[in-house]
Amino acid sequence: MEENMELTAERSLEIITEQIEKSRRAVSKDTGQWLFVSGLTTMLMSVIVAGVNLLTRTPIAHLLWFAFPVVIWLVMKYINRNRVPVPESLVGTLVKKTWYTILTFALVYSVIAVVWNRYLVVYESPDVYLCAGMHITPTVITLLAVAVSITGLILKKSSLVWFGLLSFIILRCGFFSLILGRLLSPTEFGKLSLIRPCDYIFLFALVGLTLPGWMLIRKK
Amino acid sequence: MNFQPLDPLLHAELRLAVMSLLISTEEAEFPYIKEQTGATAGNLSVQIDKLSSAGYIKVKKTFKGKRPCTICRMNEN
Repeated sequence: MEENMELTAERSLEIITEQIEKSRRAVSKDTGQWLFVSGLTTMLMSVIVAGVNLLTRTPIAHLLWFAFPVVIWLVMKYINRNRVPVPESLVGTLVKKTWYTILTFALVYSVIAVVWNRYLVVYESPDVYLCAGMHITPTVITLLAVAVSITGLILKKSSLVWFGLLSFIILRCGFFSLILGRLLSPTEFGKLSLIRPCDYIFLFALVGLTLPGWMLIRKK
Repeated sequence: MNFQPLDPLLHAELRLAVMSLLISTEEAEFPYIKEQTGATAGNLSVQIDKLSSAGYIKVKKTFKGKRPCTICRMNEN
């Protein structure tokens, strides 16, 4: 930009709008990278958890999910080590606070659900467990899908809103199970219980995090 | 509505761009402002000094590890 002392009102407005839009784009790209990396890490993590569960024939590897926030944080720290940080802005803060709130809800719900379900399994009958058991994956997926859509609304990226909604509909409305049921034999479908819900988490990470993240990064 | 006339100091494109950028952020590091405005380091440095001298922005020089880091923020007064 050159020194121009004859700035017209129109040009001034153009510069201001351009800079505000550039700030929004920088936040979009930063969020995109965050979504993309979290999506890829989630997909990798779900493959690892499913693999360990299959090998050990126990659901013990699901405990690895509690280390997940730390894994994401470490990966992001490594990726951002040489990047110019995007400064705090109203848009960035809104996105960050949305995710912090929803991830806190998801984490608290998961911890309570694990303890609660354990109590039901040990002290109550299977019928009570069926009625009163807390379902972690569907709830967490719903919360994350909502977070993706809210992020889209804040960043004015309608594709993100649709990806959030799409991942919610595919995974929460039974379409995924229906498709798997049609494609697999009953025996194969039954075997899936060993890796469940890693298949759901993998698909959500692909549709709800990785793809929209990739789109945000690529957008010029 | 009557507006105050714009300070001639802000009639420069780069200075106005820096101010617009800082309005939407709490504070920004020098490399970020350089990247967003597309200015050269030397020119940007001069314009930031002018804005700082006029009291529009505050400049904090610090270190990030062993590397110097200049942080700019709008002056609230």
